[in-house]
Amino acid sequence: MFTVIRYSLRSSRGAIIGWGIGLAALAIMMGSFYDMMVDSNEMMDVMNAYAVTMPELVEIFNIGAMNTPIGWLDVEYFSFLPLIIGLFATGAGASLLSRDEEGGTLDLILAHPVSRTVLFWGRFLANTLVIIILLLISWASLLLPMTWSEYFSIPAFELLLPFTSLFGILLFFMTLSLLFSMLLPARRTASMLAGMLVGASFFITMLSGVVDELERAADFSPLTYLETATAIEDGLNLTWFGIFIAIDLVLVLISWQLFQRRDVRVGGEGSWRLGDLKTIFVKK
Amino acid sequence: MSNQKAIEIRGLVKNYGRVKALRGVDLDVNCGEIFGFLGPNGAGKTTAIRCMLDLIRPQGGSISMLGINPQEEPEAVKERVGYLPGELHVDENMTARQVFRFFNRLRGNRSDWAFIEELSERLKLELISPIKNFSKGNKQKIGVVLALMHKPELLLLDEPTASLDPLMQQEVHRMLAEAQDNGATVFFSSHIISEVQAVADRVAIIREGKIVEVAVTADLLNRSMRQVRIRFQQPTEAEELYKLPGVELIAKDDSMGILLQVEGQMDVLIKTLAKYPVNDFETERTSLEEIFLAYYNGEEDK
Repeated sequence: MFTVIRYSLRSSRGAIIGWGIGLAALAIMMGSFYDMMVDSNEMMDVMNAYAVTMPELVEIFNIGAMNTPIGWLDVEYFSFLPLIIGLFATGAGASLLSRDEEGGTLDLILAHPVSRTVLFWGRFLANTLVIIILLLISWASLLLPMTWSEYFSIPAFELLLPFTSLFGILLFFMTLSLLFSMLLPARRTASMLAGMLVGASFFITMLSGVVDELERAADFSPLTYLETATAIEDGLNLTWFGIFIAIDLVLVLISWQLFQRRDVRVGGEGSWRLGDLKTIFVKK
Repeated sequence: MSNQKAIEIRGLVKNYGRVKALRGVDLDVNCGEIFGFLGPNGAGKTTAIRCMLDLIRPQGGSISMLGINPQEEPEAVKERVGYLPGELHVDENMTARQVFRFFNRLRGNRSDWAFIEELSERLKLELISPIKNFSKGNKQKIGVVLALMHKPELLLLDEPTASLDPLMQQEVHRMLAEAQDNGATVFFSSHIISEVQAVADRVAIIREGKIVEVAVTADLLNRSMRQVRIRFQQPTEAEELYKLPGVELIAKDDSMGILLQVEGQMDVLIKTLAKYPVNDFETERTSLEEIFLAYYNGEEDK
């Protein structure tokens, strides 16, 4: 298991560095801009003007709350971060095993004395670790501007709570994408479908505040349950976090069972495997 | 050669949707032998090998590898088997050394690194360059080392010499012979008949998912057709010859020469021929290639 995790992390080095730098830059930039906004009277005037001329926009982005560090992060950082990192999570989920299968390397790995279970969970833990690393990089990068900022200050532990909430949702997108990769013919199809769901969830959640028709749809949108400002102010809602972790676990267990029972391809893209779902109820 | 079975397959069936890849394959491979698995592309060679390693699951039949059912204990089988896939794919950003290190770790660091280096040296394999710069032949060499490096009891090789130049092919054949000398069983698939003829103790011919022939390579060649050209010292009517069992007259050159086709042993023909004044006698044995083609042309469909 340790060898599988180690080599999976090794092959994710590029992704960790690339995404890590991008996410760190975004966090540092957002943290640093807060002082600039507070000091700028013109900026506050623009905000106030928005409230009068475009109240819908103010409602969508909760612009009124932007004059506090938490509100600023909620609007300028946490509203977009789930979309960005969510797309990474779907890509990682779809690639977990399908990338090697399509590339033909899975065949050779599984011809060695490593069980499908060890390979699956080793890869899954490594990918989960990559997501945790990226979230920790983002968290630490938000703490960094606090060292030089005059106004931007949130206690470190409290700032960790929105990232914890986000972790449960990212894991949901990753495991959903993983499940798709077990059922659909190609990794890119799985990644694209899961990515579309991330995008749909993002827009439904964002627009549900102003479009009444989307209110019911928002109940089924995972990002609706992302706690950012509320987690910092009131603490993490452990019930929702627990529900997401439980759903993640169910999705990953189904994927594991499907992987246990499937034929491994020599390489290339495969065919639809929706019928495989019934095999998880059959004794091996 | 022991009588214990390294591979025992009974009634193996594998379908890919409507395509019947294996249609009841029965096969026995004895411990310590080199066994050639002959068939053209799409005959089911790779499918059979992948079933043996539990990479794909058959719909019917049973497999025993070194006495173990690979569907029930796949890791126990893979522990003792070396495998070379038909098309080798590895992480091309790695060097050959890193690939060997990774797969050696997956095997619990069982391989002797000096042996890995010896194999690499014999195959003239560059260990420190990224694999993405390698030719197809050099990538194949990585596969050969991966299969042999832990000195497995059973080698499953899918077209082991594909893409290798003739010198390297001979080196691989030597390595397989050495593995056999050290007690390993070698099962290799090929559509290169000369290779099977040169290396294998026994051979199976697979056709459209069914084994159509299993035989000792030498026996298969011996019991095959031969063409015999006889030149007499004087005009001779030798009707007696082509009335012998298994003998057929193909052509008469003139009154002094005949061309016969002989199936099976030559003994009766030679004894009968002793009565005649013979000037010249030439015999040409059918190659394994011709036998193989005969199966594929349906001439010896069993």
